[in-house]
Amino acid sequence: MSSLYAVQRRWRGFAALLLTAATGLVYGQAKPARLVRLPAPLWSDEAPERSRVTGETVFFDLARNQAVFLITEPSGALREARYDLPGAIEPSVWFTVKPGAEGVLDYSYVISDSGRSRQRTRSMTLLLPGQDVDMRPHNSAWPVRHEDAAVPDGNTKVPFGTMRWIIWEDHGSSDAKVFGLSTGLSSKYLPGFTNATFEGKSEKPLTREIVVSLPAEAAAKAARFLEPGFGGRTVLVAAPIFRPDTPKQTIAANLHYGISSLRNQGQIAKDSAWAREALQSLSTFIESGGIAAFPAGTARPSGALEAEIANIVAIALR
Amino acid sequence: MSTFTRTAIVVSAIASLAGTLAAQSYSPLFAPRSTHREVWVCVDQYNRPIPYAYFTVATGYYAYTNAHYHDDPWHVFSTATPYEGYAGSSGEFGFDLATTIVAQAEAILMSCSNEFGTVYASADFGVGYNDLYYNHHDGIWHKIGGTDTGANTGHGTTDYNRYMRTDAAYGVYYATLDYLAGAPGQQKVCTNDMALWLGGKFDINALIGAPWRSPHASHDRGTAVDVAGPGSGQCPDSYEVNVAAFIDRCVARGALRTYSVNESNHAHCNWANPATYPH
Repeated sequence: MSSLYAVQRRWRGFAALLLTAATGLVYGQAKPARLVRLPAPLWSDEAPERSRVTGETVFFDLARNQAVFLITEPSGALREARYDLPGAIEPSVWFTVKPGAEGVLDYSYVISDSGRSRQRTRSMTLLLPGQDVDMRPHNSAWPVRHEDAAVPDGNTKVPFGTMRWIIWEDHGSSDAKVFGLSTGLSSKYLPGFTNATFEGKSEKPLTREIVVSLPAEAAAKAARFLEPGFGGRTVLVAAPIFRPDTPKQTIAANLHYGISSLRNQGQIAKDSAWAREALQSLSTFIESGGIAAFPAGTARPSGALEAEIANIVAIALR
Repeated sequence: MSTFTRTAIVVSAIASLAGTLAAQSYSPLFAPRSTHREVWVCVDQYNRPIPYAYFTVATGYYAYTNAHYHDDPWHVFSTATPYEGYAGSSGEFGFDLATTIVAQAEAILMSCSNEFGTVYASADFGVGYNDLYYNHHDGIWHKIGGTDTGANTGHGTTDYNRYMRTDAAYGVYYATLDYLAGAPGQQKVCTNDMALWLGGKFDINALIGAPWRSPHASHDRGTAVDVAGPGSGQCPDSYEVNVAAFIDRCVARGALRTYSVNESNHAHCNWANPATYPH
């Protein structure tokens, strides 16, 4: 009896194992690799049928990285319209800031696509103060252009000061991943952290014109595809965003944000002694009005990124 | 204090699985006191959604952003509801992100797990308005307030509080020119509070025990300005305005009479009804 019980227990163990494995297979369970923020409900083969019930017409095809719109033809039939999103990239950017002659700072950016990128990065955009008339982009393999932006400059003391887009764009036809592409600019403006936006190369990109041509409700939902986080990738970099006479308190607050954000993203280690000390020093400096000299730290930066940020802090708050 | 120290504690409290976890262009930028639906999916190495994964969501703020140069344990920031749960069969997990009246940079901190592992992600966002411009004209305005001439409210110089929507900015500019044209010999008027560069709560009682909330209710949207009259204690006598007369000039340039108030020692001109924006 006891041996039979043992056999039954053994079979029950096998059965539980099989059930777990079967559940995994049925539900397609696998090890999580990353989290993705969705601009719209996920597309599936059942989406058109579901659309007739829910009325949902805007979807995101994760596998193909496409916006999918279901458009009702005059005949009543549903037509699928698909457009590529330029966000299937994972660019890494190495930024440096070096002092040059007569107060000019050289900002450089070296861009590489990661092995997981499904598209080739084709553009990099920075939003910089429009009043920085002495800013000069460096020569680069990617041509650069400027576009005025209505975005207010939150740091300026110039009435109605606005920002402008600086856009480096690859006009080549290659689909090969970008590796070590160098861009940059020179400016007397001091460094702070801001987002650089990158877009990937796509065959049939979704444009603002296409979005506004959709029925109003669908257009409102589809507009989300054009936000930087979905229509591209944003990466925190150092850039010339502070006029040289900007209060040090303002600059320190931005540096505090940048270091904190990079720590959240895991680019700076959570337990970094240098980051902990730098954030504490910046907090004290900000809360005391940013008037006294910024104290030199005792913790040594660990790794190239921390060393470069320490260099940027020194330049910005000197 | 490190900005996310308390957030990390919150996350740990929410779920042991969670562990610890976009400057001038915070993106996306959500309006103060608004709610947004966020939907995330956890994918495997082949970019396939993972059904029924367990999610945790926490929120946090970046201290000292939007010129809030003070911090304390009562600092308010957005909330996520629900803050944990399981994805459905499609792998999608949704939650509502509700912002507060405080404009600043914040972050969502997430985890996704199943029996095979856990991944983490963070995403920055901003709370505030992106249509407020710096508004000071040295030829006709004398800046008062903040640490310059008044008390430290935790926001430093009055220059951090000089951003306005364009309609209000032009309104007070032309109201000033009109007033000075009718006041021979007066060169300038004293301007005080407008709004922070992302708007939102400008908490003037931050350092006296009442941070992150009203009063200063109607300076949240960049549509209001204070102009000093007699008795402000911060404005040179020759720059003081007749408060009632200045409000008339504001109203003639588009300010709303009902919401432009004679505060005795200053004119409070507002180009919008405060009921139309959170405060």
